[in-house]
Amino acid sequence: MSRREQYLIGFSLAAFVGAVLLFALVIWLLWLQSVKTEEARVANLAETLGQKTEQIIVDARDMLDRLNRLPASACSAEHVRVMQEAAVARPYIRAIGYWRADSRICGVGFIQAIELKPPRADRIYDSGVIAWWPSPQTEVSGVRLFLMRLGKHDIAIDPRLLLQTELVQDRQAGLWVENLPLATAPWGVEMPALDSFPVGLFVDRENDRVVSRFSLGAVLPIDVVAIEPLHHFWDRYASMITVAISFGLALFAVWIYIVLRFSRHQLSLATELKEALARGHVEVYYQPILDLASGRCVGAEALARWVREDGRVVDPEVFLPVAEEAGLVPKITLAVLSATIRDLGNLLRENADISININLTPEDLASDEFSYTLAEQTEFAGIAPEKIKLEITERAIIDSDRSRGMIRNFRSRGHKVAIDDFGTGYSSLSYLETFEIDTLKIDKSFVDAIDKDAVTSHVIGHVIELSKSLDLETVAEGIETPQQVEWLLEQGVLLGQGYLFGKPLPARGFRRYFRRQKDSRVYPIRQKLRRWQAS
Amino acid sequence: MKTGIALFFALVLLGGCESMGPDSRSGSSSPQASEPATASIESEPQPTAEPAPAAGPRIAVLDWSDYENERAEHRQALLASSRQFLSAEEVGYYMDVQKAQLREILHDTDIGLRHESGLIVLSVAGGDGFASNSSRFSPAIEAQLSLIAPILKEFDKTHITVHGHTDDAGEATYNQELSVRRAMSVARFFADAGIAFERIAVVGYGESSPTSSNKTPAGRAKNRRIEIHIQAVVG
Repeated sequence: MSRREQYLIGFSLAAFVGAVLLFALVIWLLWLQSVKTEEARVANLAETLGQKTEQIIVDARDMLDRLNRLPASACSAEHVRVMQEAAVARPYIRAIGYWRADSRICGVGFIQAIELKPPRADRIYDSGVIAWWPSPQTEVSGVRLFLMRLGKHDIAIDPRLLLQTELVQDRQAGLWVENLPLATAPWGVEMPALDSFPVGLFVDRENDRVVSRFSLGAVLPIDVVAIEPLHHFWDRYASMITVAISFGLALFAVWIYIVLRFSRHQLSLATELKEALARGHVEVYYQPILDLASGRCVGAEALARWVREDGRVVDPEVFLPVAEEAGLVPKITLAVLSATIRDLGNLLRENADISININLTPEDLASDEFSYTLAEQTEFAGIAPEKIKLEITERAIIDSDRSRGMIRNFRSRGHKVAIDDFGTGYSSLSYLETFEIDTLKIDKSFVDAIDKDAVTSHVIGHVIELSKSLDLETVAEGIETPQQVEWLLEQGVLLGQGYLFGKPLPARGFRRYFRRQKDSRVYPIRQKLRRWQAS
Repeated sequence: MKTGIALFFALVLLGGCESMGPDSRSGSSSPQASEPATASIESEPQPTAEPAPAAGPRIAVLDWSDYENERAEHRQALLASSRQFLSAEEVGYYMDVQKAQLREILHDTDIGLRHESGLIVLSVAGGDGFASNSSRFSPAIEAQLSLIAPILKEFDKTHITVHGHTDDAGEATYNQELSVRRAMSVARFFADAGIAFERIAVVGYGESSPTSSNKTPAGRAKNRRIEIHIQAVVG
């Protein structure tokens, strides 16, 4: 898997995870907010209902106490009038009765001919209050009443009026006092046992509803359970959810955009190359150039090599198009120059008969930066200008007057100039006469054709002739076989480079190579060739 | 004054408890003083006239060794004479309401309240209520009894048995008599408050059923006690 693919997968994954997290975060926040709001709503309802109930119970008890202390004769007109007023003032009261032991002597309200005497009290309080929760024994005309008695008076409360339906609206509500069911809304709806509801809000997905239980305990333990169908919940928050999802999608889009931009930036080789340049990861390899006759190394062509993070070396054919597109070529050239002077400074100073070729592109010639840097660095390093040969392409010469001026300038400063890849660029060779150049480099494609009897092999002869006629030094590129060398020598080509003599070498390798071949006995190239042929 | 009378009656009754037993059981059921029309709703009226000591109603004394039978007999006699009774369905409500009213006045006093089916038991812990070797009860207890009495009077379909207990100081026979005297002093108080004497019986257990150890003063004080058993009369 290439590094680029790894990056791609990594960024896709990051984008996906980021988006999912964002979305989840939004939905989660929304959910929290909805639950909080709903909780507040239901809590508010429960509190209102609970307080109302508490208030009614306390009020009923106080009323009974006042009636018991009334300084009027039992069942006198005054007594009945006070009871009447108390009942009328409280809509939840169905009746008030005055009792002696278990006999109802007189009273007001709807219950007149009946004595409600449930056999078992649900609660007896220290205050003397005795209470009977709604049951079949307290039923009058189909309504099960809540009874309270204190001393000689009792009161019948209609529990339906404890849960105000206008507050409950389309929900269901249940009221428990002392953990005993007292009322439901709508009236008569079946409610599960109080214990089956956890305190607080929970979503009962099994029954598609939101259930919330809230408790008060100031005077009496009071519990209110509110049940809301889940679809109400969604109805209420549908708009909010829509907004949130839109927002989420927008965030998602922004996120993806950011990630894509970032990844494209990151993924591009140009960026990587730029970083490599900044970190000095562009190194220079040197391909030896030999005197074909003597086999002596007379120089080298400096070739940029990009050493990537994982240690792999990238050839210029791969990264040069990228570099050209990103306008990084001049930087690479400068890097090559600096590296060459750094790597081979001593070698160049100590050996007279060696020069290093540096490739220039039209971009390098478009500004003065290279020219200045070249002058500055060679001077600073104490390297003679003729030790640095500049290789330019045909295209660079054709392109502009500025380039020509620049080349002229280089030559006037003592640099040699070579035409690289000769024969591949332009059909017109007329420029060769108009330019002052020193060397002509025959492209590898011509050299390859030497033994193959192809049409191009005839061309190379003409190229060589042309070079000779212009009095140019000729260098053959891409020599791979001894036959090629022989043929080239026969044609009078004196210099060459290629894998036959050596691959491009790193600086240290090249230095070793140069030193070795300099110190060893120099064989004429023909002897060497014979040896190669024999083996 | 009132306690003095009670004590007096108790002593008189003690003298001939055997012979008076059957007599009291078949005693008349003349209604108590009627409720005046002007009384406030809250408070029941007190008897307007104290009965003359010599001709006063007689309160039955039950034999503790055969208590359950004798009480049943006494209750049966009450049922026969008064025709004031509850049906089985009414008992629950009747006793619940009565208990609630008793609870209101007793919940912050030393008097304990126990409720079983159809039976309410009030325990007057004797600690400070009765001095040792005395049947007189303290003003504090009298105040509480005077609150209990109207309720017992209102809920008249009950049978009341006052149980007396002593500590183990002194002779057992003496303590037996003393416990009867103590119970009787309470019973007399209720009768004086207007509760029909046919509804009331006393029983003395002497030192025979202590609830605490007699070895400490605190335990002995607890053992000097009165229990008021209020039982629904079910027909």
